[in-house]
Amino acid sequence: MEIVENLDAWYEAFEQGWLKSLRDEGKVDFSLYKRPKNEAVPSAPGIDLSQSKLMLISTAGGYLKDSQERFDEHSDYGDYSVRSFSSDTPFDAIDFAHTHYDRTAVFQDPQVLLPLEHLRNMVADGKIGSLSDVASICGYQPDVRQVVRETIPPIVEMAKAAKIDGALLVPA
Amino acid sequence: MEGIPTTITSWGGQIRLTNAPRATLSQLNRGATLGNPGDAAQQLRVLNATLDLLAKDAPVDIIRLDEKPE
Repeated sequence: MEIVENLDAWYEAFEQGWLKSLRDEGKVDFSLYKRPKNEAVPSAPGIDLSQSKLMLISTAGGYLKDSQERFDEHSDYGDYSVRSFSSDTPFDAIDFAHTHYDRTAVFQDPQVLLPLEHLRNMVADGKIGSLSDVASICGYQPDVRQVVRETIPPIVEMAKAAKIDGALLVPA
Repeated sequence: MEGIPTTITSWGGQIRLTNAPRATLSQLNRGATLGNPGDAAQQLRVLNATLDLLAKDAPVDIIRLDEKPE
């Protein structure tokens, strides 16, 4: 199954529209942007979460402020790199680099986007078996082909290495 | 993710375009996807509803949550 259907055709339109405007005129013009659309729906059997290892995938731009490179939150093209950190990480070790959503709420209460304490409590209560490291990206990523090429592969590798059973995606 | 069961929650209708196998959809704000800051009860309602979908064989219809901004 393709991650994004008709990706080459989508990229051609993207390159001639939104990306051309950015390259030629330095303009970010989302009136030129067409969102990709999938017709097929992935199928997979359900899991018993209490016996499963869960990965949180966040697009909020979270990173370890003292040891990891900050996302390039000011790039008009977007930052397609991935950070990972332990699900045991305290919130005061995390900052959020993302200029395309209002960060007031997440600075006030990180659990609105990064529910690490809630998930840890669910493990303690037996609802979730265990947690893997968190996969974290800065979710302003207009180039979907670059997401497929640069962003998704390391997340899949993380998932395989950690032998996760399921993933929770929380967009910002 | 290559056969790994996934579940997602969002405030945006664009989620329909991706045909996610398991999803909840609320009226919460961008930047506060799981609920209002300081409202752990609301955040847990959204989280539990979204995580509970992992027990189901996918695909499942999008679940609409009656959760709103403060």
